[in-house]
Amino acid sequence: MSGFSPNWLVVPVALPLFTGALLLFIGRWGFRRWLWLQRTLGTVALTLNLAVALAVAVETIGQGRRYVLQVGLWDAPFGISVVADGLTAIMLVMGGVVALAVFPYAMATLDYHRERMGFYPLYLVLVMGVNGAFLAGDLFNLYVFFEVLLMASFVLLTVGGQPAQTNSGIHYVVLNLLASIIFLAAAGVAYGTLGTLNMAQMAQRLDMADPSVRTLLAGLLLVGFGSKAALVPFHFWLPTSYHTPPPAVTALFGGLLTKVGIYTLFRSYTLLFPELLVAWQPLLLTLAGVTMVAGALGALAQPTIRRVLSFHIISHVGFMFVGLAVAVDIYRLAPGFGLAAALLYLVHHMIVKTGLIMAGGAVELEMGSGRLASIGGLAARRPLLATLFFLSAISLAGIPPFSGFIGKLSLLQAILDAGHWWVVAAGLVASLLTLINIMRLWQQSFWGRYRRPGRSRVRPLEEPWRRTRVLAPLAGTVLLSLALGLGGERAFGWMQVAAQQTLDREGYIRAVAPHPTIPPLDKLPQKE
Amino acid sequence: MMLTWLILLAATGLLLWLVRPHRHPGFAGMAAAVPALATLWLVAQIPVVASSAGPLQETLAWMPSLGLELALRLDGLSLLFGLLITGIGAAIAYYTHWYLEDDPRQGYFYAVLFGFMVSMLGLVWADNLLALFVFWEGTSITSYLLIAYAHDQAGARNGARNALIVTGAGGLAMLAGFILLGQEAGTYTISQLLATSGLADSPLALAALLLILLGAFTKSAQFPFHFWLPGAMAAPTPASAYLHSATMVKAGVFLLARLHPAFAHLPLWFWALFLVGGATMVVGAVGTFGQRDMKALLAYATIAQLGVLTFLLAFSKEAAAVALVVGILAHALYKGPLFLVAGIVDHATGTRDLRRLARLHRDLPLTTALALLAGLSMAGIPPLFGFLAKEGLLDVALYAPQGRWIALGVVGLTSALFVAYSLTLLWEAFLRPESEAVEQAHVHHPPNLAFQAAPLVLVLLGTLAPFTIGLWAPLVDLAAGAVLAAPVEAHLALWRGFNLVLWTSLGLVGTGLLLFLARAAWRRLLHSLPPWTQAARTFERLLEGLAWLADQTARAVQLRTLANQASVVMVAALVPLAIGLAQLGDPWQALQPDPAGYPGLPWAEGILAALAMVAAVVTIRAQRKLGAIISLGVVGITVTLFYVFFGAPDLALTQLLIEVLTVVLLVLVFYRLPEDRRPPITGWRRVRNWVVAGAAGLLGAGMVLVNASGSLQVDAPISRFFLERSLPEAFGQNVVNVILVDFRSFDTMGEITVLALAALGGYALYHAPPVFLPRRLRRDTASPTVPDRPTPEETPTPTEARHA
Repeated sequence: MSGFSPNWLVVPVALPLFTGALLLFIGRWGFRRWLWLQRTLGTVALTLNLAVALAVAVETIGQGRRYVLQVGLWDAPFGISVVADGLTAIMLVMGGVVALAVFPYAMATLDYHRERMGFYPLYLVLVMGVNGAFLAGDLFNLYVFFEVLLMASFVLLTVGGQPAQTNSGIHYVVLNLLASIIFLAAAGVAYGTLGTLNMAQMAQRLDMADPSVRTLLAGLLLVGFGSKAALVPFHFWLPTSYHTPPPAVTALFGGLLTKVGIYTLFRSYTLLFPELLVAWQPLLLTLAGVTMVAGALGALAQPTIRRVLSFHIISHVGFMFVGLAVAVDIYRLAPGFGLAAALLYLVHHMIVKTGLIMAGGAVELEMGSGRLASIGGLAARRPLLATLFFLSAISLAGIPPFSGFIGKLSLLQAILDAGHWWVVAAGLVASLLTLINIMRLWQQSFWGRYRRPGRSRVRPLEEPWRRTRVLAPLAGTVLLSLALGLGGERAFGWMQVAAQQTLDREGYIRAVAPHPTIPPLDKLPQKE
Repeated sequence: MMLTWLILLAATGLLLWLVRPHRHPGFAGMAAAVPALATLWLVAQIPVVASSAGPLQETLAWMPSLGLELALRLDGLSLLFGLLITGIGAAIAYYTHWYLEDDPRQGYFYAVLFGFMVSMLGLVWADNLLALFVFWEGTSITSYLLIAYAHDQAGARNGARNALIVTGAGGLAMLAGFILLGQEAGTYTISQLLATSGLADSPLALAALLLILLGAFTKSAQFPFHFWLPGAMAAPTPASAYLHSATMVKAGVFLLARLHPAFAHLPLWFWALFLVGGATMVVGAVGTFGQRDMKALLAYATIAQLGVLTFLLAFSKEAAAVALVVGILAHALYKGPLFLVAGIVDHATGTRDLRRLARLHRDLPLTTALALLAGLSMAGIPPLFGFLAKEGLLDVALYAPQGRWIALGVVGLTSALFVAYSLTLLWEAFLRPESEAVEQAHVHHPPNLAFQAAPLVLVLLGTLAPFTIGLWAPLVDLAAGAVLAAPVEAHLALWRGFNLVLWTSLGLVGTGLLLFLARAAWRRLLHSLPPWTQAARTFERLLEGLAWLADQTARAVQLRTLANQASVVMVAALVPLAIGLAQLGDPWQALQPDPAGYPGLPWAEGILAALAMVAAVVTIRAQRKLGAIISLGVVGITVTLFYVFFGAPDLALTQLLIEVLTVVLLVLVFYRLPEDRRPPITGWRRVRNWVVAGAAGLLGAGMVLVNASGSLQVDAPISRFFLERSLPEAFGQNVVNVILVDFRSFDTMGEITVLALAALGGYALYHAPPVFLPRRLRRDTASPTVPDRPTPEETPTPTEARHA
């Protein structure tokens, strides 16, 4: 042991929460002269958060271990278990990267009113919710963190109160609450039939459960988590809401939110219903294929930069989901190859999508409008932004040597190995549509005659302090994507460790070690 | 060493970007020196590769677990292409500076051009299918950027777009083919793959081959994908000469040549290449007559030549392989200079339109001489290099093992057309007397010698080649040997006596002369063709169709209203319940409640349930809001009473408080809202609402039944633990409270956060700034932006909005 205690697992939840709470009190919601303190403390907290996440990753993936914290020392399944394995660590690290990248961008692009209205505390609490969801080893605890991130994202979405924002916020919250209710119903069924909410114990007891119970639970979770992940046909909330808040919020959401849904799908299906990955494979593949193509095709019809980019998230969710569908269906490749490929794609997507939305948002603020038909010619005026946008865009389209290519390549290899022709066809069509989409964005915004139809309150590329805060995170995402593309072998090795750990449900159950029955009073280890 | 060259060339490009080459003519020379040195190095490798040491190899691991390795291998074929890429690249690099003159974006052009050079070299040197794909995509992207160099022109943007979509689509198909092939063979290393016996005979390999052919055909502008190449002529002339004539478009041909040893024996291979190549030849050659722009004419001529090369690859004879190699060399050495000459003419006169050009030989004597030598070589007039190439082609066609008459017809027609359009170009641009009909272009910017140096060198090489066959014959042997995977000894000669090939050749020159004289008729004929025969237009229609489809999809998947969207999710949640119930053999039996927990239905609870239901119906049907709120309160309170019956008075108390508060808040809020004046819901919406409400009810009922069922319970719930341990270990009498603050306090922390967030959100909304947007702008305003008055451009045509 290298001195790593499971108690560290509390940090990704507690640190953002308490920092957020602290920020609320600083300067009583922010007089202008206190904003710098909010920004600094927030940056420090997010940096520490990423550092702890990296430490968790080193401990779990590097050592091949799992870490379990039984909160309040109540043994599983009676208390709440917080579990970190490779999958959790990857999600924590990537969430930390996205949160840290968007934070300075938010400083540079937000208007004063939003900053004053508690933007930074909300931001940190959203990070807390996301981290908590990644760490949850208990179904109801997961639900609680879903609520946290739903409420935080809802307020972030509506803060500022433009009519379009409020309207989309209602769509967002109604559809997400519906998904939460379905998830809650599933938790209720789990408790009613299995008598437990600890996921490790649920996995044990599900093996003994009636098939109908498994169908019901798996189906409800698919609808609930699928909604969070924006799988077609449960994606409606995403295209109606993502383009209305400020670009920083869109970038944060685009990087984080749907990925929580994807994570929970990965976790629940590999841990609770591994046999359904085979039995339901046609269904899962169909959902993935339809999501891939519909997301990319729908994005083509969108009129503004951020609408295109957010609709496109749906398509990529399909790509990640397909990795789950072939997680156990591999013949000639290494075990866990499909899931590892999906994880690689997910990591790539989180980096690049965040960067691209930030870049697109910068264009929008620069031009005063994101309407593709009325803007143009930015390449000559903002060459650095243009370069970064272009590199992010081709990475998203899967052009080598960026990360998108190895993500796509590994997924295609996994699907072809499993022999699902039509899914490959769907993936290729979606890839082509992606290429057309990003080309459209690029050509309309950066090429042609210079056209700037509006003006915005904030022009982030005019003032030097704003420019660094916009371009530095962007350059960071591009470099990360390049590094991931070039150093793909190591990264893929990590993903494979994580994937194998995720698929090893016996190991997960052993690590959490839920008491199979209720131990008699005198047999319990005494609390000190 | 190969890797070093790649890095060196890439660095040269980036360095050039930084040093602002438009200010300093010396940099162009230095830039050209690097690929020129690479050419020399490659020339020095010819004896090495030919020797028993065999091909050079270098490997750099990239992602071995995906089979992706930067494996480079220098055999005859990659040597041939490497020489073309670096040699012509050096000439182009030198020429570019004079062509772009003081354009401040020259550095950018150089950077992308060298980026292309690296990709193309990597492509032809790659010994790994996936690495080949990596470089392949590199050429597509750099080509995209070069075509749209003058991106303020719509033609350039559209040309770049079409090229990228077509080659990108082909590339994706090819990638799938590569993966299939690699998985079938168990390796992605090309040299090993070609050595795998019987690979081509598996059905999967056939599918892979079809996909790969798609990639090769799109890249090499084969019919019906040829249309992107004329569109790509919007690129600056050096890029057109380099990418879209000498090198990149030959990538598809290269790939076919590479895979030739493994697949050439398949009938599919023969007929696909034979027919597609033949069709491309004819379409390209005939298409030249529709063109008035020198570059467009040369683009169609390039398509024809690419068809010839594909056609030659259909055969697996030694003569075909030799003809292929000679054809590639000759084409690079005449078409490259012709493009460069077109650039010089454009630069000097400001136009490339054949209608406005005439008698250039008086003002541009050197340029005209170069054009004549290159153009006659294109026509295949002895003793120029093109003649050698045509001899080889005719030789293959005359002795074709299959489809000889088709081959003869196609090759004959194409060869005659080669003569005709070469003469057209030379005559109309350089030699013919001035006509009074159109305004004549004048030379107002004569080129200096440095500008003409690049085509001069290439033309000299091409002209001398037929007389120095002995010098470069080893290269042909090596390259042709690599195509056939067998040692080849070519017998090339300018003069092979009066044989059938020569007579045919002379006859075709005569025919070509006649066709040239009748060119006006040809042009009329081409212009009278219906518009759908123009592939570019058809492609434009396809893109519009795609935009329409996208629009329909976006509408279809978004369902427009929140009610519809919520309905889908709600009904979807019912599906697993239905399937689950169907899986129970006897649902009625299985869902019997556990008698221990639920001792029948006491009358009091029955009444309460009935009351709740009645109140729910009243809530929905209430005309006024106050009535709805009150009945909603009734529903809440009846539910609260259930807690009392099940022995949880504290929960009941809490719930009661919540219900009362909700009612009070609702009354307060609705008191301030205007009366709802929307029309009542009718028609299918009403039906939908009933269905969704029914689904929700069924779902709820199903959940309750499943939860209450005794037979579906797997194990004892853990709740007994809480009852037992609450007092002795957590020191609390009230179990619910202990659960909240001790056993599951982590949850409680989260829930408190949720409440705080909600309060913050309410506060923020309350303090939102007032909005003064006019109503029509409220639809789609990105929040932090305040649009000026809408400009006329804001109402785009549908196509403009989606593409371009």
